Amino acid sequence: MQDSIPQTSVEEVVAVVDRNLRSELGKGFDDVFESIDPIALGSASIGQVHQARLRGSEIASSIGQDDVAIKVMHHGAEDRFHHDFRVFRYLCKVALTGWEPILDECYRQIMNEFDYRKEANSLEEVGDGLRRSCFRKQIRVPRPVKELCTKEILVMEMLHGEKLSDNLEQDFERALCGEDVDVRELIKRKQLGK
Amino acid sequence: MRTLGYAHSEDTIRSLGMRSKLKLLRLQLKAQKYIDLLVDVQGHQMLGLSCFNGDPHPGNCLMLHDGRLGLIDFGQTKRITKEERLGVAKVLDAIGNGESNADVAHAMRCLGFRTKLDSDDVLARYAVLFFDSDSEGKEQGCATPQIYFSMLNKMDPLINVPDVASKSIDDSELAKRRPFRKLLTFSFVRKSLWRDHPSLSEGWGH
Repeated sequence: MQDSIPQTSVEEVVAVVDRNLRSELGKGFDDVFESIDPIALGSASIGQVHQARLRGSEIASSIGQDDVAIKVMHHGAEDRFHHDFRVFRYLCKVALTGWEPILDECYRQIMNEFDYRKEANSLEEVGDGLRRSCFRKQIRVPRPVKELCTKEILVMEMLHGEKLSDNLEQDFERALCGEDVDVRELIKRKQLGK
Repeated sequence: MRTLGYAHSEDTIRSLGMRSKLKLLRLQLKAQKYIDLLVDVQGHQMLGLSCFNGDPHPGNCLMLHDGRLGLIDFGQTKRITKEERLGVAKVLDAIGNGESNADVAHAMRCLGFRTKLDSDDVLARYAVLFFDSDSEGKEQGCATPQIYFSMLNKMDPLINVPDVASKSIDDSELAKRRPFRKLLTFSFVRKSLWRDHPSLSEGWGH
């Protein structure tokens, strides 16, 4: 999840979660969640992620903690994608002949993103696979709370940490703190291979 | 603070003090350790499980407080059958072991790739571009993988790309991030993981 897309207000996010929970579980937002962080952890073109705290202990005990991440789809994201892809496909027909099979697969793949229940299944499948593997002590994949997932909302175990790339960049800055060099510019150029 | 001016980043790093260079060396080793782990985990998903993350960019990796790495955002996943896994593994094996263009092209055909002229040479080049790197494109003067792909398409157009392969090239983010570019060959050829993997070893054989 990138964090460069403008965030939808938390009121709108809560309204989407509430509507989804009521239509699928017959429960409202306040019945399931105690609180939600008003600032999103990240926002991308399809949705944004907030940290929240579960109310009650039943679900919390199933994932071993009461703080969760909620991914909420932006209103109208699917329609916008359909429109943009139509334009993109037309342009590619002219400028990138031969890319049609790849574009078609791309379209199918991205369409999967508009149903968060599929992502919940993938989290569960890959997570279970990695927890059974030799990587279980080195890697974590958040467990989905499938009973709270719908097409538009994905509730999962909250992983506490920071982006690996940010962590490495901070280390880079610390390593050069005594040097008379514009470290941010150096990082940028190094990434670009310049 | 000194700006870099027109200096190349490598020249700037060479001009740093010995203490800073040692710190950077330690950081490089740390970063390499994580990259190796992520590549191995991605490889395990692709060839050991039936589902893998099709969008493994650095923004989707977290450094967790408990010291582990967290993998998030499985919105773009791909399902892969045992036959597809075996097919991908054979292409990787052929590329990584430096086999002839004819052998690489044969593995590509088995996976489902088809080109109009059925050229071994171009199919082998497609194999490297899809599953390894775009360095050959750069050597040919192509600024981006997309330009190199278009060049190959003019030489011998692709008429079929198997679904399993399309995730390896359609992600521009993946192409931009250097550490993840050699995602497949790096891990699997180095360790030949699939040969020992129970789900694939029985189907292996030349």
